[in-house]
Amino acid sequence: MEYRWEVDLYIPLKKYLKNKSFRFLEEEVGFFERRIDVYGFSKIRNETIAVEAKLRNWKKALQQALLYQLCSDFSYVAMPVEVFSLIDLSVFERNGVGFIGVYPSGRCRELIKAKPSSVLKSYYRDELIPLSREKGR
Amino acid sequence: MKLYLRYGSHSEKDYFEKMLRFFDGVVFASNLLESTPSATVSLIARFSGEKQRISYYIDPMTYSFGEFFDYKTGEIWSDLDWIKSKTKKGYSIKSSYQKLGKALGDKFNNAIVKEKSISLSDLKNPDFRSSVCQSSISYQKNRVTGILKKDKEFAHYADSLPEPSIILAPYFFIQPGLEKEWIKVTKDIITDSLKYENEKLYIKLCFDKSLLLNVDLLSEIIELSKLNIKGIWIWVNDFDEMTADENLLSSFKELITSISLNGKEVYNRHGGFFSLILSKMGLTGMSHGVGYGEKKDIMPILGGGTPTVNYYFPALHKKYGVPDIERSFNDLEILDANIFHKKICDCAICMGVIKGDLKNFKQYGETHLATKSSKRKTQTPAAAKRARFHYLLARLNEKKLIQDSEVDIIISHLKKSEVISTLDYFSYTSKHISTWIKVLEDN
Repeated sequence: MEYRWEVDLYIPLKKYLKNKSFRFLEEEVGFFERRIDVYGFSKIRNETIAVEAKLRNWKKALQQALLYQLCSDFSYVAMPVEVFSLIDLSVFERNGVGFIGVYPSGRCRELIKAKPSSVLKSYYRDELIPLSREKGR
Repeated sequence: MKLYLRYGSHSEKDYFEKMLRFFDGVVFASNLLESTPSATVSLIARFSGEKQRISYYIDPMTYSFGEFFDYKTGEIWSDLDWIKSKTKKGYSIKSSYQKLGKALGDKFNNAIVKEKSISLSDLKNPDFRSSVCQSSISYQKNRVTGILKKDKEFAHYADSLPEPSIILAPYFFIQPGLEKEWIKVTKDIITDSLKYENEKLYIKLCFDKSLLLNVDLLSEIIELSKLNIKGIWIWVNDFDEMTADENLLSSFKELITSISLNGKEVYNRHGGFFSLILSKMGLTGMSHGVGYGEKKDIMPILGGGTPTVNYYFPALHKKYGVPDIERSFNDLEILDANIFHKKICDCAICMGVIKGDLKNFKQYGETHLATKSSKRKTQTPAAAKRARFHYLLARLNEKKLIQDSEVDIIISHLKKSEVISTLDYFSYTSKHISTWIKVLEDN
């Protein structure tokens, strides 16, 4: 499947995240003037995850993901897998932002593992968890 | 360096009442004056009357009656669509512009009545042009006192109110592709206007940024400054100090310097910190709005909602969202409120918002659902107000920094900012600091 719109990435992404125990997921979660594409909470792990989905502009995606480290334990960029060869790996690794590659088949694979956020603000996290729990079953 | 604030709407009154005395002047748009004459002149009487004596001028907005240049197609539209709005009967010229047309004089009123813009060929006609110059200058000199005299409450202010400190010759957009003809007509406009005002006549030059890269046209622009005007206001279309490349900024700097070397005042209608720095290279002053207006396109983009008033980050001389600033706290070792005030901002607003707890910084980005039917949260009015007041205070601090520093010190200051701009979450959108340094070092 060719992904024409960013929202096309949401279905495979959410399926992948649910399999990783993030059972509570919500799309387009407001964070100040931005909207986190997918925000999830894992009750088992007591962890949150924020994912910025983009089709091409990895720099912009990374920039957003860096901000989401304020409100989420883990922050990822999700893009069609072919974009992975274009990114600056060092920036992702330096900042602890992860990368999820989405294949045309709908399969997802973690290509860079995110590190726990060192800039997390608990007050932001605590505000967003209920949103994902309420709506994202 | 003279800093003028542009009065955008009456919702901004509080900012002007509290802060205007720290600035050098205020600009009122004539369409606002015509849509709310009593409210506007009462403010002018208050700000510029005997007590405060703050300089003011009325921007006649004559370019609004000119042709619309469509950048996508290169076409020129003469139907004045850009000053129309939708009504029950269809599209009609906004009432503020209808009133402005009547007040500005016959030629402008005819444009409104016929819904046909004033064109280059109209302005080439000596009689037409002379009428436009005479009536628009008379408007600026007499309109405010004329309204005051009719108002029982404020009539007594009319005689003591000073004239506007700046009188603008009528101005129109110098269209790409027709620059030489427009510059010639502008020269004729200046010559005609000097018959009606010869002490404080200024011209506003509105042109596209592409002109900045045309050496011949720039020479012709600079030649205009040799005429007997007091100064020039520059308004460059599609020009943003934050994103313009080195060539554009260098050219803009050279233009400013060349005009000032001809002994004329030169102002930037929409400027920010880079323009403040250009005061060291000849720029007399600039204007902007309350928390906005550091750039503006002459050919408007219509529509759009109310933008968020982001936090003006003094370290990078640019506005950013709250998360962008907070994200930098760890890297900048801003661990508590005291350090924030030391390293970032200690203005009265930041002190009052943060109140000793860095967590409170997020109040600059406070959001809400504005109406019952809103689906998306927007910035609260209180948050916008905090951001705007902070912006004005930050701007005044910047003005002081520039006034007290030589260029080499300013460059050193920018080099410290440059280190911050290379942090990963700023680096993709904050290349302006590096560009500014290159332009200034090339002086």
